[in-house]
Amino acid sequence: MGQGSSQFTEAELEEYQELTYFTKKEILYAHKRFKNLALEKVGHNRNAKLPMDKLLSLPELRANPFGERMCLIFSSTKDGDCTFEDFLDMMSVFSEAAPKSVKAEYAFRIFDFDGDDYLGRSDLEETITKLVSPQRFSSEDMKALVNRVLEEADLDDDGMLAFAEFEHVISKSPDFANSFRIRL
Amino acid sequence: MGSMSELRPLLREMKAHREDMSGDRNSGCRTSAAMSGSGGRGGSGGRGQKAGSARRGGWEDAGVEFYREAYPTSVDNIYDTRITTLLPSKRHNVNSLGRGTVRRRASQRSRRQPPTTTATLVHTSRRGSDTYLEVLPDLTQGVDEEETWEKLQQIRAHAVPIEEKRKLKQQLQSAPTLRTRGLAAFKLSRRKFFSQTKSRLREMISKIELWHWSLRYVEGNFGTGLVAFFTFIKWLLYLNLFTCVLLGVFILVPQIFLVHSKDSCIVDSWPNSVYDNETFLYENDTNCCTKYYNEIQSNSPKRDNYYLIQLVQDGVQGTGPLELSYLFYGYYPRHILVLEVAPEWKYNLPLAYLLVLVVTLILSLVLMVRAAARGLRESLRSSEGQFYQYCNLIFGGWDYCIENNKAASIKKKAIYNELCNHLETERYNEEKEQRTKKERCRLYMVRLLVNMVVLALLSVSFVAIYKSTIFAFDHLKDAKDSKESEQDKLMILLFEYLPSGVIVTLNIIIPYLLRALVKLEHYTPNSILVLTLIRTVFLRLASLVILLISIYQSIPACPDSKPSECIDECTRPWCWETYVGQQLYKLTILDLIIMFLTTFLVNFPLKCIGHKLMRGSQIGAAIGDIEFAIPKHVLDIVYGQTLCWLGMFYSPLLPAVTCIKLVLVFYIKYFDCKVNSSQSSQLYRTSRSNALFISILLVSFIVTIIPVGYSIAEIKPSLACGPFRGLDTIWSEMLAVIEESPDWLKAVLLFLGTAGFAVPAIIFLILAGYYYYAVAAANKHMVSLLKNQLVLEGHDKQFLLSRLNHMIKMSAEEGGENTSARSSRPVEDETGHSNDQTLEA
Repeated sequence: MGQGSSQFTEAELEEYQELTYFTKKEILYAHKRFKNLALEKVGHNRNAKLPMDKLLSLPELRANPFGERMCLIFSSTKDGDCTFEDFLDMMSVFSEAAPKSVKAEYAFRIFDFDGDDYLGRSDLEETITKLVSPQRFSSEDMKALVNRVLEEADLDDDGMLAFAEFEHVISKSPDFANSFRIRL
Repeated sequence: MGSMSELRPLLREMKAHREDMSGDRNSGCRTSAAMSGSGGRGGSGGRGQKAGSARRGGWEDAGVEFYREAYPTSVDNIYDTRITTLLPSKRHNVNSLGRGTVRRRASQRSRRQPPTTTATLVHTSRRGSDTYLEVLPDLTQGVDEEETWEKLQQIRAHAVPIEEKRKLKQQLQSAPTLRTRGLAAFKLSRRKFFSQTKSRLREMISKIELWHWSLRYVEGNFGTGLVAFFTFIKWLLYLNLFTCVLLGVFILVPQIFLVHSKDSCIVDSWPNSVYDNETFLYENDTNCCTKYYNEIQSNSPKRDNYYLIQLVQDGVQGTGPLELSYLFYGYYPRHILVLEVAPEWKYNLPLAYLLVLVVTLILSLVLMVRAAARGLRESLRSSEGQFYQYCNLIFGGWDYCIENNKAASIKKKAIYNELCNHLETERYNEEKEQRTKKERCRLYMVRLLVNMVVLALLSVSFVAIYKSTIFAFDHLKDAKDSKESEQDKLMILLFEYLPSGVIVTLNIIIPYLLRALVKLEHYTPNSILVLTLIRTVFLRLASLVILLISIYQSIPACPDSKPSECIDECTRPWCWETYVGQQLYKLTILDLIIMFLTTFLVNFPLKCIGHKLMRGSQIGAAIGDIEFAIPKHVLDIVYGQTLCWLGMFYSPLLPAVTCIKLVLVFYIKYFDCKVNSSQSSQLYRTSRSNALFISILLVSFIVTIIPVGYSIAEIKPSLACGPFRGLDTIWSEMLAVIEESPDWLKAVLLFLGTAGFAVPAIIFLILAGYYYYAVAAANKHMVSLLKNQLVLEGHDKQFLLSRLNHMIKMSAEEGGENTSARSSRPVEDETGHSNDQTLEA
């Protein structure tokens, strides 16, 4: 794992360490994984921008129903293409050391499909659909499910979840921190 | 001015509406929601939990109904969303993240910081292109280094891309700061040092982390539920390693480096002077016993032709050369050890033996309770939110670590099933309400019957264990005494294995029966799981306890007066402690062997046959699909650990054996799950299963403590062996040491044992427990009150908004209709504007 260090100086690693939840070794390993996605490109320029479908070939993202959303959210250009720094950002948020609050923030963005800062009915429906994708719920069941979710979480009763409400639910969900995690 | 007069009727109307609502629903509802605490409880207290949820549902229904009916305008109003986003609570929804962490830390770390500094941290909405945070410290107040450093540490907690973080960092670093001096500077550098060390430590630990890749593989292919199981094994391994280190340092190492005087056993010619000295005689007799025992053990006949078989058998049973090794209690001498070069340094080995074992047990209890408390907190948090089961599933259901497409589709299916299950359970509950009396009666009868059968099964198995142990014990005594013929040897072998064989067989058969029986009882799947688990745990633990009790029962009672006669009268086993240790050691080894066999000789061939030979056929699938049922495997592990705890006193190296065993078990289970098993279609919630594992472990620990404690406090240790030979009970060693200690310490220790201490202590504990119970109840009540209040506020807000929209619309229409009345326009505009402002404020 040590041979990758040629692409980074010690100071850069220090900086990454300060800005993410990773140790130096993990940063180097993250870069190795990033490089393996497109050996040619990243070999020349360590911060090359990879298109979304390249990123989606990462097994964790490929299997993940929200993989695309994750790319879109962490991409600094908002089009799903990620540089190494974006990738590192993503991995840092999903690392074990990241606190729940940070994870909740990003989870909210992932589920917020239409980007209006609320999880509305359509967002919830889309989330559920993606979550069970080959299977489908009948529209009736779907409606019942969304109703249940809102019933549980929509504290102010306005038919959608704001971030505060979402965070509240997440803080009570013991599994979230465990499941919202990717081991490098 | 006009705006105020516009608003006033609005407010009045709102008030009326609130009253209206409380009138609509019964008055109890209203009280429970907003007014007095006790009133709210009283209103629906009788119906308990169910009523609570119904009440909540009622509120929502009421709310929705009410608004939709009374203010239809609000639904399709185009202005609605725009105004909603202007609300202060919505505008800074991102704030809660940044600010929350900062404030928490600031209050934790340094109290002296003025609270204003934290307020300078302002998040703006992330929707705009300028996703930007202002973390810069407020320069007007003068910033010290510490603050900047703190902010630097928090940068990583902000939800912005790295580029932005870097900018922030530069800004922070370039901002002029006041140098800290003196003590503050020292503190700062210390903190910096600590955080650096921490990160370095983390790096080091990550390097030596055990089984990282195996765990990662499991996680990627089976999800976090299974990983919890494997980390549980890892945790137990660490626990046992810790025990091993303690035992090694305090019991083994001293024996290697320190020396002791030889035992003196004078058989014939005692000097006259000591004839009257009873203690001397007693010690002499016990020493003789030991010598005799050791001689017999080391002179046991060696059979060369069966050498290998003998070796294996000794290895499994802990007999032969193993019996007189550090592995078992019997080998440890009753001596005060001294260092050869400095004889005044004494080391009381028996005391150390006792203390170390007690301390390790207590430490493991503390470690377990800590882990359990963490798990309990989590599971309490989730159970408190019975409400949140859907949110949990939908927002936290996906394991982001899954990297295998097949696993992903199974996971999706599992989530789908679970969601369906939830919906179904609700229907089931409704159905349950409608069950007829007759049906209910029949079900209860069936359950009663099944419970009786289960009880009968369990008691039959306990009797079987008890009888077989006593039988084996007695016959072993006779058989070994008689001259050895081939047949006898076979008999001995049979008797040696009888108790453990019975236990193992019962452990295999009974759970199957239990699983079959529980299906008759028609419980929900979750309670089926828990019920079977409880019954099986009971079987496993109780069978071990019964084993110990029956051994205790048949311990030969030596005449107290003349230990020397023990050689004649109390024949076998010479050293019952070693015998117990051997039994448990044997069970440990057998457990491992059985695990190995089921994995490699049962499950693996089944899988091969099912998936390779009969591919595609129904039978093949039925044979080959073996689910990795976590509860069963957890039981295996916990059982092993119980054996270790039970045997630790009689066989101090058993934790070391268990460590090795756990490493092997990890790989066996890993193989079982990787090769043999298909992914379970059931969802295992990590938190829930973690809490479950630890609580089962705790129960088994407590069950373990009872027989071990009993044997320490009550049973006379054997004369021929061990560090406590010749004492009345093992605990009397401790008492003797207390007797010798200085007076004040003695007084304190003796006081701890009296009722004068125990009664107040118990009362205090009860009071403390009650206090915390009361606090918890009050908090719970407060939470429900606040929740209801929140709903009310939400309704108020919606009501206001809808009225506002209505008015704006009206005024806009008015403005559109009579363009001639230009004079009224500015006033209306102002109205809307000022309303916005009031809302923003």
